[in-house]
Amino acid sequence: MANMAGGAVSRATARVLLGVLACWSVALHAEVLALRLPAQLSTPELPNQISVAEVPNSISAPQVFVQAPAPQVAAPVHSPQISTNVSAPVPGERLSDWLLRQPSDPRAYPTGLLWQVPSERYAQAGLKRNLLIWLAVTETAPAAARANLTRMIKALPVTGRLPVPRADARWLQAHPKEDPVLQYNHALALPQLPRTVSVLTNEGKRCTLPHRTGSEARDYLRACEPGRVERMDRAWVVQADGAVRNFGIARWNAQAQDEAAPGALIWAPARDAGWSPQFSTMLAEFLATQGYDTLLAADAPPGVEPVSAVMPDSPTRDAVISANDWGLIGLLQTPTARMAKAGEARFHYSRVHPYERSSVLLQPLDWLEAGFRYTNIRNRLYGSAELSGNQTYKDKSVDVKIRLMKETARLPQFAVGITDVGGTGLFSSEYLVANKRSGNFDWSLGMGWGYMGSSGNISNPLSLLGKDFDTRAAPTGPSGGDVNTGLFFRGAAALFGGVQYHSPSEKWLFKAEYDGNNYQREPQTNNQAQRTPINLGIVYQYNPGVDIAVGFQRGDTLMLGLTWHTPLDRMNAPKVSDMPTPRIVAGRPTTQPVWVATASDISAMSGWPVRQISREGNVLEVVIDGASGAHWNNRIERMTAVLHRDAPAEIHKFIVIFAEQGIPMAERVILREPWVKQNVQRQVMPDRIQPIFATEPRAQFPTAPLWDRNEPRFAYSIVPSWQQNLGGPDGFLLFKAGVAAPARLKLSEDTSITGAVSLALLDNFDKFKYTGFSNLPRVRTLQREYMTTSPVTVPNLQVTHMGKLGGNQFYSVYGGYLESMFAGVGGEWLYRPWHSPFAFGIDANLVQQRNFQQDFGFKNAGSQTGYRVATGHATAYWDTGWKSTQVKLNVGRYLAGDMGATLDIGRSFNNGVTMGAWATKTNVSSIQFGEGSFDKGIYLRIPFDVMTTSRGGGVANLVYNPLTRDGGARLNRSIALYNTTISRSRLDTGYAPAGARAVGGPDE
Amino acid sequence: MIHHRFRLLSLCLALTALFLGGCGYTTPITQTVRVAIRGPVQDVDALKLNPDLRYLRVTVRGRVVLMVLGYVEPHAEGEIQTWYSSEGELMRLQNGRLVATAGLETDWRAVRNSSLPAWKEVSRQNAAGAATDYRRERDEMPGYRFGIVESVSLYAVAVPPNSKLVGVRAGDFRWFEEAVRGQADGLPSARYALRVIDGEPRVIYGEQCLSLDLCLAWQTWPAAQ
Repeated sequence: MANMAGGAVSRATARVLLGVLACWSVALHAEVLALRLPAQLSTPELPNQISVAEVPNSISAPQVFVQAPAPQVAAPVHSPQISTNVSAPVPGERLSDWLLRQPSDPRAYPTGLLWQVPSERYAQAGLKRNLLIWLAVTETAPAAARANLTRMIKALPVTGRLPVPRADARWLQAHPKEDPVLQYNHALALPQLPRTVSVLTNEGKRCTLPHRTGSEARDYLRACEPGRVERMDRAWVVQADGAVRNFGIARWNAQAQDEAAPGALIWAPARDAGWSPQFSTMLAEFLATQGYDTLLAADAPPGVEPVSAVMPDSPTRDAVISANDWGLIGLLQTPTARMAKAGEARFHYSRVHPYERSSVLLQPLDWLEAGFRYTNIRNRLYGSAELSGNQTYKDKSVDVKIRLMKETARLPQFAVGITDVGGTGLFSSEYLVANKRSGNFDWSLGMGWGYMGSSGNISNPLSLLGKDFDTRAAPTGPSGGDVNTGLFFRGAAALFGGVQYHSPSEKWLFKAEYDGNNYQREPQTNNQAQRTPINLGIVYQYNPGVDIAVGFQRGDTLMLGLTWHTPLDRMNAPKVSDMPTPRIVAGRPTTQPVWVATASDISAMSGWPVRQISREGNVLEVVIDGASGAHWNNRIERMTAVLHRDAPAEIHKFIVIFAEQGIPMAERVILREPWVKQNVQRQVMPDRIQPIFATEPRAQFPTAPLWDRNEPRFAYSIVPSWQQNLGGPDGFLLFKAGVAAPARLKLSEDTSITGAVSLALLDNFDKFKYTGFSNLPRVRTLQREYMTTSPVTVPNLQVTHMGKLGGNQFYSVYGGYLESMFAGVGGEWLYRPWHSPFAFGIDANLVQQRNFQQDFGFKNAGSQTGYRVATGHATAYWDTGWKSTQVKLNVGRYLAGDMGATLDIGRSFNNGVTMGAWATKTNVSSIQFGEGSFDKGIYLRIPFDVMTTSRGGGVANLVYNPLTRDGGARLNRSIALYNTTISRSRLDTGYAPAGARAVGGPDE
Repeated sequence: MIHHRFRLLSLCLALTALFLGGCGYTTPITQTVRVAIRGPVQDVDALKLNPDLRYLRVTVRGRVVLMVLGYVEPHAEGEIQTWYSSEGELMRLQNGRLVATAGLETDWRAVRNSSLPAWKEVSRQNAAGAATDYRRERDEMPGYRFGIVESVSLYAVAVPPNSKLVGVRAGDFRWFEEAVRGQADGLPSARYALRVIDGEPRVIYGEQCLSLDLCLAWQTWPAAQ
């Protein structure tokens, strides 16, 4: 509850607002930008190898070669059947050229193109061997079926087939990276369009049916194995182009899925038939190496006839989830066991008299949903009129829901959750809920305790464990913030549940539920009439990110809801404002480069400042100073394109050295020839090697550079600034918006003065009057005074010297106005081995409270004037390697002089977005600490790289700290060695734009 | 709490800073804001074109891009033009009608028309008050939707008020609409604007939706061509 103890001040930095705005605007815009058609053709160019209005090679007469003229082929290339046109490649020609040479045949089926490469046979032979071993030794599957499959697999050749996802010659010409150069021992075959699809039955027999447009795997299975189809949960579909996918096909797990194209093969083992998913995947992958003709002609057991014709059913759809009135995935008032996909963020607003709920929910893991909520109780005042006028009551709460078990064919999905944990507990509830899906219906049944179970329609089953569970104590009272474990699952309990129906019209969901709450026991005696415990609602999915809900609840009350949700893990903004990457060609330059232009282009491509370019023999070295941003590998690829374009022909290797404050931190080695090959033609084994790899850095920079930067000593920028106070007694949102000018003056290579001036332009701080109460030195709770005293502030101005102590140890010493409330001196030492998951650091600081004006004085800091403290922490960092989860543990002395520890756990996604939470417990008692009992919060870090249309640095750090108190408060140091040495991290330099294929770097 | 006079001064300073931004002070954020407000392209129609290339002005979801002609390939039913975007997505047109795309979020991999007469015959039939019906079969990706068979009706229509045609008067052309009859996809009708050049009707402008949310409109560019 946000009561009299002071409002929550976000630790939002100057860039937060813009981050959010940019995030929203880009997220809204991204769908438009994500269109594959490029936004700009300012300098129209034709793709590689294309001349204007060129008439293609003349269409030659049909040629039929069974095998390429290959004198040294290790094994015979499989000869496809007569319905396939086979011709040998001319060694050195592209696949696109070969396709263009083929006779024009309207019956040709490019989707089924067979491109066979002998060097790929080794892996495929291993796959075949493993399948045969599995069939020989595994006795769970029926013996007859295993014998049939064994016979078929033995009969199938090891082809070396590689899939060609888009066998369109003209498209391949424009995408040389996908267009292989054919060798003498490659074989190619262009089949004719088959008219059938085949099912591999559970007996290991083939059932071939006419292809029917609109039909999915289940439709074919129903025709071939009607007696078994209801016991099939998943189908593996091998498409004619060699793609393999598997889909849920039962009513409980049905997924939106591809149709089976002509020439597809379907394998769907019945539940409990003894075929493991691993076997099914292996089988499908091996079958994908075959041509459809080969499969039909293989020496296999006699096929079976379909029992009926294929009748396309309605396309199957994914299960749809939506938020309940509380923002959690659920029905209306009640939650369900369903979860969003990891990476989703959701903002939800709902209104059901007398409550308005605004919730933010995050899904850091597939099985964990967590977030916070502000509930506006519209018929209760916040406090006395003198303090908060007519502002209505605001209640804060934190929710957690954990999936205990995923749904199976027979068992429902289970989840357990806690609502309003750690708050004043007005709405605190615990629940256990189960869900089972049946087609378009998703049924839920749960049991709730606390607010959710207040109707007591069932006796608490946990009472069997002891009488303690019979009663539930009152919430903690005005201080709140404790995790009230003593209340959990106690007192009255109630069953709740309902159903969601996904209408055929796709965008509509219908919900009905039985509510377990008793509205005659509302908190604050705010009782409401309830004519019926049945609630009804409709959700309209306006677009993939916005849901609108309307409901009729308690028999007499309307509900309105709006949900905005987005998958942050897939957030990306196309870089339409950046220069396009230079076209990569196999040739090398014949003239010497103008290095200043090369350096400029490297910076333009990467967004990173180039410090110097040097040459050592046939190796070109580039030093980057102060690399930032999230997607390093993408930038390295782009700068390599410039290096390859400009570097003399004899250069065979590029080395990029990443430095910070003049200290080498990490290196990337780029092998020029393999890198070029990778970019100008599709690679096959054994040429498929990684051309870019990370190495530990050298001790010194290269000497005798070809080009050296003449860096300006002084640099500045202008950025927007934002500060806010949310949920305080003076107003729900108090804010200050303005601009800030961060600047840097470089005194020497390793010593700089950095700082910022901030100017407020727009605010409503004239309403900000309340200063929170505190039992501790007021190191943070004088925030009102700091935020409102002066429109012009100097939040930071410090001199920092940084250095290296041996291979893996770094240090910094600094002094000045270290943050908005404290000035002083300090130092930090960090031990961070290169690419190690572990790091350890210590910082120590002696600081004094600054004045409220945040200028250069110390005298006007109210009761804190002259307050000094020695503060610092020992910090352990651990990159766990599990789902990109990082753990940080600080132990030490905090600003109020209290001793304790902070645990911070964050999960990063592949695009660099991080969701995390922290908690601090010090030797300050809950009573001394005040409301909240201990410091805690959640955060969301969104790299600007995923939001901006050009590559930049920085991170939008969105922090929710329910209450700002004095206990457990840390010094906000603007320069931390762990961040400065980020180039030594494997994880933090391995992120990639969402949707992009990961390239280069150490992590792929 | 900031005094109003100061607030005004501050606003002026901020506006000055923004104007300075117009003078070249750019950051990823300012660039993103510009793109969000103005779109990624400043003015495609004002771009200087290479006289050696042939262009197609394509409108998609309110954005305009230019594509360049890469190949013209002979075909019994009319030459096939292959147009490229700068990122290598391609669009194939035959007689001004879309017959394939590659690289878009929804592709029509191949379109096979049967019983489709030439535009001259279509014009003649429509002059006689009859619509032209033909059968279209197409392959769509992603989703492996192969062999989608549609009955298409092609007929003359009045000048539409909402085309994406620019640079020339829509009224100077003869317009045709192409509707799919009785199928579930529910795609909006395709439209074509034709002009008679050297005695042959030629498509100057076309519209085709590949899916419910991906519709393309194209016209030869510059418009005078």
